[in-house]
Amino acid sequence: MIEVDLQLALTDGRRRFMLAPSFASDAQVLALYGASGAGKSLTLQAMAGLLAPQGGQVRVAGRLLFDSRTGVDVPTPERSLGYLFQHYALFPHLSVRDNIGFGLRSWWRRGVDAAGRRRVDELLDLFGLQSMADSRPAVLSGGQQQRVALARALACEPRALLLDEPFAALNPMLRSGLRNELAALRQRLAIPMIMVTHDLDDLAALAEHVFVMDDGCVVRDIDLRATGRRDAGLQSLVPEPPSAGQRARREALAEALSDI
Amino acid sequence: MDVDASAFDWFPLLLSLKVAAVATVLALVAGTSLGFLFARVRFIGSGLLEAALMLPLVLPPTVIGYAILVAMGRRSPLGSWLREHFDYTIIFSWHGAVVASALVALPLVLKSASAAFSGVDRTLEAAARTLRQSPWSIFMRVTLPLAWPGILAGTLLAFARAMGEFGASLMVAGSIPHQTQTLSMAIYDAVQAGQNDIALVLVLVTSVLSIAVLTLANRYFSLR
Repeated sequence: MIEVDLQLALTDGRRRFMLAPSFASDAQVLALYGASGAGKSLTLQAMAGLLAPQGGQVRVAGRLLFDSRTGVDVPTPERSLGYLFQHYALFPHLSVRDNIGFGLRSWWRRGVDAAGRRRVDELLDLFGLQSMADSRPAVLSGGQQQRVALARALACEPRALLLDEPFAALNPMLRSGLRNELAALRQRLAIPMIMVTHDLDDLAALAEHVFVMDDGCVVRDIDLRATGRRDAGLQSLVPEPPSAGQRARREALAEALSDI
Repeated sequence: MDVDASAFDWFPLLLSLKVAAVATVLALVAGTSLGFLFARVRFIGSGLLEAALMLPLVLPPTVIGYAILVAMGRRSPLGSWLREHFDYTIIFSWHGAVVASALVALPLVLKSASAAFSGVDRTLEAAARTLRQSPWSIFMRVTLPLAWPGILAGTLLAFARAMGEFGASLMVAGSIPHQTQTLSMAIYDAVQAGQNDIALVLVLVTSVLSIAVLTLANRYFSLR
C-alpha cells in the first residue's frame, strides 16, 4: 500500500512551483504519468527523502516515512527504497560488481561479507551480467547500465522500487525487450513499484494504477485493474488526434519543406 | 668544472625537501578541507575569504614575509606568547620556512580541490544516500575518490612551488648554513659569493627536481 500526500514549494529565485501530489493505491505497479515539468520526478525524490516536503505524509508498504504533523522524517539511507535514476547514476570509479554490492557495506569495512557476495553473484546471474562483473560502467551499453542500476537498487532488498523514467535514456528498439524483463521481474519480487514515465507504451506493458500529473498535482486517477477497463483506460490517455485545421497546416508545412 | 661529489653539500637539498614535504602536507589538509567548504557551502563572505587565501599566489614574497613577521615575529602578540610559554619561535628556524612555503602552496591545492569537488556529480551522492550510506561514508566512498585526481595534481604543483620558495622564507628563517639554508637560498648565497660552479650544480639539481614533479603533475591532470 502506497499513500502519498505532500506539499512542497520550490523556487529558483524567480519562478515558484507548487508540488502537491496526492495519491494512494494498493496496486503493485503504480505509474505517475504526465508531460515534462509536471512534477513526477520531484514527487519520487520527495518520496525517497531527497527533497524535504513542507507538509504532508508519505507511507510506503505499511511504513510511515514522513509525517509533518508528528515530525516523522526518516532519513533517506533508512527508508529502504530502491531508486533507479533516469541516467542510472552508476559509480564510474567502481566495477559492476562493486557497484551492485555498494549498499551492502559502509566505508570502514574492507569488503562485503560472504552473504553479501552471494547476493551480488545471484543478481549478476539474474541480470546476465557475469561476463562484465569486473568492467567499469563506461564500457557498458545503455541496456546493460540500466540492469546494473536495477541490480544495485535490489541488492539492499528494498521494500519498494522507485523508477524514474526507466526506459527514457534507451534507444527505442531496446525498450520493449527491457519492458518485458521488468514485467517478469515484477512477478518475482513481491514489492511495489512506483514508475515515473511520459511513455504510453510503458503504461501499457507494466502499469496497474495510473495517476496523471499536471502542474504539480494529480489530475486523474485511472485504475487499470478493474476488469474490462484496461484498454478503455489506456485509450483515454492517448492524446487527441490533430484537428482538421492543424492537419492542413502540417501538410502545407511538409510540402513547403519538400521544395527546399 | 672542478667540484667533486664528495665535497657537494647535501644539506640545502635535504632541507628543501623536508620543508617542502611538511609544507605540502599542511597545504593538502587545509586546502582540501577549505576546498570542500567553498565548493559545497554558500556563506556570506565566502568570496572574500577565498580571495584572501589566494593572495599569496600574486603577492610579492617580501610582502608575505613581512606579514608572517608581523603575525608571528618576536614583537607580535602570538610570537611573544609562544616565546614566553614554550621558548619557541619560528624566526631563524626551519619552521619559519615551512610556514612561508605552506602559505604559497595553499592556493594551488585550494583551487584544485575546489574545482575537483565541484565537478563531482551530485546525483551520484544522492544515489549513495538511497544505498544506505551515511554522509561520511558518501564522502569517503564517492566524493573523495572522484575528486582525488584533481586534488593530487594540485598538490604536486604545490610541492614544486614550496620547493622554490625563496623571498618570504629568507625573511623569516634567514639563510643560516646547515640550519635554515634551503636550496634556493644556497644558490643565492653562492652567486653572491662568486662561487658560480657551486651555483650551477645547485641550479641543475633544482631544475631536474622541478621538471620531474611537473611531469608527474601533468600526467594526473590529463588523467581526469
